[in-house]
Order: sequence, then C-alpha cells, then structure tokens
Amino acid sequence: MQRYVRLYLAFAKNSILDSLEYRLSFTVWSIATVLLAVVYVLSLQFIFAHVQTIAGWRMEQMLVLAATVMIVDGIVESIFGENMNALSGLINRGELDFVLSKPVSSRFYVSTRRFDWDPLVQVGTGCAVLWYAIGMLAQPIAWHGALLYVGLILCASLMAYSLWFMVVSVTFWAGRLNNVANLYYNFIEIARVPTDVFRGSLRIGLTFVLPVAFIAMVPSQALLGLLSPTFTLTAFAMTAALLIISHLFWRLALTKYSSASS
Amino acid sequence: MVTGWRAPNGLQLRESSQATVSAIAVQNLAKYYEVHQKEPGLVGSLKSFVLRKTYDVKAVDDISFTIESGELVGFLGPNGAGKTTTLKVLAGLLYPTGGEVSVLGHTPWERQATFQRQFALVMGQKNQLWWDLPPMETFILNREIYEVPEAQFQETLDELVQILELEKVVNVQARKLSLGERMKCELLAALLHRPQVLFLDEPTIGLDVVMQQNIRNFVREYNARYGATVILTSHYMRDVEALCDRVLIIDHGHLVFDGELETVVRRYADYKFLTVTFATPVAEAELAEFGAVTAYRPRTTTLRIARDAVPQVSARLLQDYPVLDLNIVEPEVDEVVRQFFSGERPAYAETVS
Repeated sequence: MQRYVRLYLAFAKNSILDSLEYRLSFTVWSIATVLLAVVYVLSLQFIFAHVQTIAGWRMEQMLVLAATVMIVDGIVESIFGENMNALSGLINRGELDFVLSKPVSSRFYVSTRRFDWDPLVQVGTGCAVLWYAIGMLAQPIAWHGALLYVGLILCASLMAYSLWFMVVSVTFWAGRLNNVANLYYNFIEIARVPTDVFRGSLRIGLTFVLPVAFIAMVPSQALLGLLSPTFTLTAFAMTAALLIISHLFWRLALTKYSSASS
Repeated sequence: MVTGWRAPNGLQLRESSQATVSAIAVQNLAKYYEVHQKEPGLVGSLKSFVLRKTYDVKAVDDISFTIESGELVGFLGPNGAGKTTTLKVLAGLLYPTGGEVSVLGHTPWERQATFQRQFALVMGQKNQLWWDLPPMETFILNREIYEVPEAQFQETLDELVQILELEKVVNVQARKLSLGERMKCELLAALLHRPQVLFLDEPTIGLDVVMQQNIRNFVREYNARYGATVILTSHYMRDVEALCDRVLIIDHGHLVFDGELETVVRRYADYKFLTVTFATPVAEAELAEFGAVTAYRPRTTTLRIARDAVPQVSARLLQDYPVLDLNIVEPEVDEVVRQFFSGERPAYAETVS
C-alpha cells in the first residue's frame, strides 16, 4: 500500500514536470471552465425565473447538483481522464508490453500513470458554485450530511471511473475503439439532470444499470439531508461491486491481449 | 530431435532440488492468433464486416527448448516466423495456446511480482521513456516500481551511465535525443534492477553501425559482469554473430535449428570461397572449370568450390598456375541463413534430425 502511494507521488511529480512543458494549456482550461460554469448558473436562473421547481428540485438545489457534477467530473478527469483516453491506443499499438512486464498492478499503472492538473480548475469552480448555492438554502447543512457528501463523491468518482475503464477495456476484443472516451462525457452530461425527472424503467435503468443517479443526485441529496439510509448503503455497495467487476473484466481482457507485432 | 536439445525436464529438475536448473524451459509451446481476412475494396470490407471469416494463424507451433543460466542465445528467423511471439510469451505478456513454459522457475503469464523483478524487456521499436521528460525521471520511476534500494540504484546508475557514456544525456528531454542515445537510455532504464534474464527484441534496429557495435559490446559486458541470461532477436546477422554462441532458428512457428552458429554454416553451406591472386593474368573461362566464379579480375579471382573439393582444387591451382596468394574463406553466416530461409535448404524432416 505504502509502495503504491510512493509510486503515485512519482507519477504525479512526472505529470507536473510534463505539464509544465506546456504552459498555455492550463490557462485555456481555466478560462473555459469558469466561463462554462457562469453560463450554466445564468441559464438556470433564467429557467427558474419562470418555474418554481423542476421535478421537486428548487433552483439552489439544482445548483448543488450542478456543482456536484463539476466536482466529480473534475476529480475523475484529473486522476483518470488522460489515462483512459490513452489506454485504447496503448492496447491497439501493443504498448501495454512494458506495463505488463513490470512488477506492479497493471490496472493501477494504466489508470493513474498520468495525473492531469487542468481539470482541478473544475473542482475549484464546482466548490465555488456549491458555496454560492449553500448560501441560498433555507436550512443550514448538517455536519453528517457534509461528511456523507464527501464519501459519496468519492464513490461517484470511482463508479464513473470503473465504468469508463470497462468500456475502454473492450478494445482488447475490438482492436480499436474510436472516440470511446466520448461515451463518458455523454454519461456525465446526463448526471446534470436529477433522475427524478425520469419515470418508470428509464429511471430504474439510470439508477441501477447505468448508475447515473449515483454520480451527482445521490451525493447532492445527502448534502441536502434528503437521502434515505438504504440509498446510502446502496451507493457504497454499488461502488464496491463496480470496482470488483471492472477488475475481473480487466483480468479477462488481458488474456485477449495480442500485443502488436514488431 | 533438434541439435543441442537438452532433455525436456527443466520443470521436474526444479522440483527435485538439483543443482542444475535451467533458466528457461519451454515445452511444446504453441500460440495461435485469430485473424480475419478481407477481400480488397469497399465491398470486401462490407462483406467482412457482416460475415467475418476468421482463422487461426499458428505464430508458434510446438516449440521446445531449454536455456541455461548465463547463456547468450539468439533467435533467428524471417519476419513473422514467431521469434517475437515466443519472446513475449517468455516475458509473460501473452498467454500461450498450449504448452508449458518455465522461466526462473515461474510460469511467466501468471505475472508474479517476484518473477517480474528478475527480468527486463527491451524492444527496439517501442519505448518506455517518458517522451517529454529527461530519461532520469523514467529511471527514478523505475526505481519506485522495482523497489530498488537507494544505494544500489545509485551504484547501478553510475556504472551504467559510465559504460554507456550517457553523462551528458540523462538530463535532456527524451524527445530531443538521437535514436541511438534513446536506445541506450532504454537499456539503462531496463537494467536498473539488475535483471537476471534479459529479453532483447531487435535492440539495434535503425541504429548506425557504430552505435550497433556499442550496444553489442554493452550486452556482452552485461552478460559477463552479472552472469545474466540473454535472449536476443534480431534481423541483423551481425548482432547474432557477434553475441551468440547458440542460435535457435525459427521459421513458420517451428524450431528448425538449435545449436552453434558455426554448425549452421558447416551443415547448410556445402561450399567455401577460394580467393586466388596470380602473378600473371588468367582468363575467366579457364578458371570457370574449377567452380563458379563469383568475382573476377584478371589477377585476383574468387571461386565458389564444393567443400570436399577444396583440397584438390587448391592443389591443382598451385600446381598449374603462378599463384602468389591463396585464401580459403567460409561463406558469410548472413548469406547462409538467407539461403536457408529462401527455400534453398533441405526439408524440415532432414534439418530437424
């Protein structure tokens, strides 16, 4: 365990050194992220000038939801994003050879090798929006709600990563998957809408099959004190299940690795 | 039985705690790839998309051999022969379709950390250096991955930097290095944990002659200094000739020869070259009676003579002509192996006997 912490710090250090080579990237990212957040807040205010609630969610609650999406997405993208985008290419070009020959968990290596500092701006922006939204709430936030919120955000990040990881792992069979990363961005996009909006089987599907509900809605509800204990437990159980399933899937996929001839 | 074949019992030997344990034992190894074929053009692509015809390509088909600790062995064979596939199975990257493999007492594809700490893989066509960072950062990362103690890391690093003459290079961005410098850094990165087994896949590809020589010298020195077992695949005969006493020739997934490189020459080249220098010019037609003239100048001529006819021909030349100098040369290994693969060779049944 301690070894992996050291290894992760070494990865992160190399990633900083690496990104310092390209200074402009961070600036562009920052401006774009903040602008997008402002536009989103303004558009919500515009909608709520005409309606009181959407599926029972008031504006400040919707803002909490939006902030949560930003935070989760920022975490997932900074830790895993670049790695997931690169993984398909590693498999296709046979560059997994070096990873598989090293005495280190291959999943850990391919998932965390590059830490991307740019999306951290999004985490910061998300926190700012969250602060603003909390200020507008009728009741103050309970401390256990806040604690649970942090835990569920971690769960959400791990769930989103596990799903992304599995989708990319399909490359072992497919040989090449074009734009597979985009599926993740679409997935995150759905999380901006409270799943309460949907009905029937679609709602169940978005909760348990494709667990969009757990990405932002469930943590937001926890913060707002609206979450049932059953759902809290379900969130943790689903996270553990997805981590294990994606691990087994990766192991299976590796047996299909054909490398690339050289 | 293949020449030089040792009893296929490396696996049992290990368990019976005998002193002579083979570093590598491979028995009946097979690796098939499923591939699909498509007719040319758009229609062919559509057909292949809907109804895909797949078949197995036998990249490696029933190969067995053992390699002792400290040996320097070359894998020879044309493109697609199965050399690299065999190497990748030995390194645990690929799961075989069949057969048993033991490397340092481990089954490679189980990828146990204790096994992975003991070997290194270097591929001339792929790199592990971080592209935008100096090689030093990759070395430090490998120190963490292999958990090399700080003192040992520093010692090995200094030693390798010195042998490979990399003092000025290790702190320059990898993408700004020349191909040769990068290859040397790749070697260094792979050797920091002092592996006992070294898999080298085309380590000199694309390098100039001087750099190829440097890499060869280094590999030999590493082998001597650490007693490491080295397996090398290369298209450059010179690499194999300079480094390996023993070669495994692989063709179409089969092991067709296992033994000393010289034996290949003796067995498959039934001729030698005779270079004669005369005091006075001699006509080409006259010399053609002795054997094929491969290079003719009036005073110096090279003839290709059947191996067992060499003594008589030499004697007759010395007797009948004013010979100043006479030189008998074995054919180049390169040439022999080329012939070997271009079909001018006996059938498998005869070679593997």
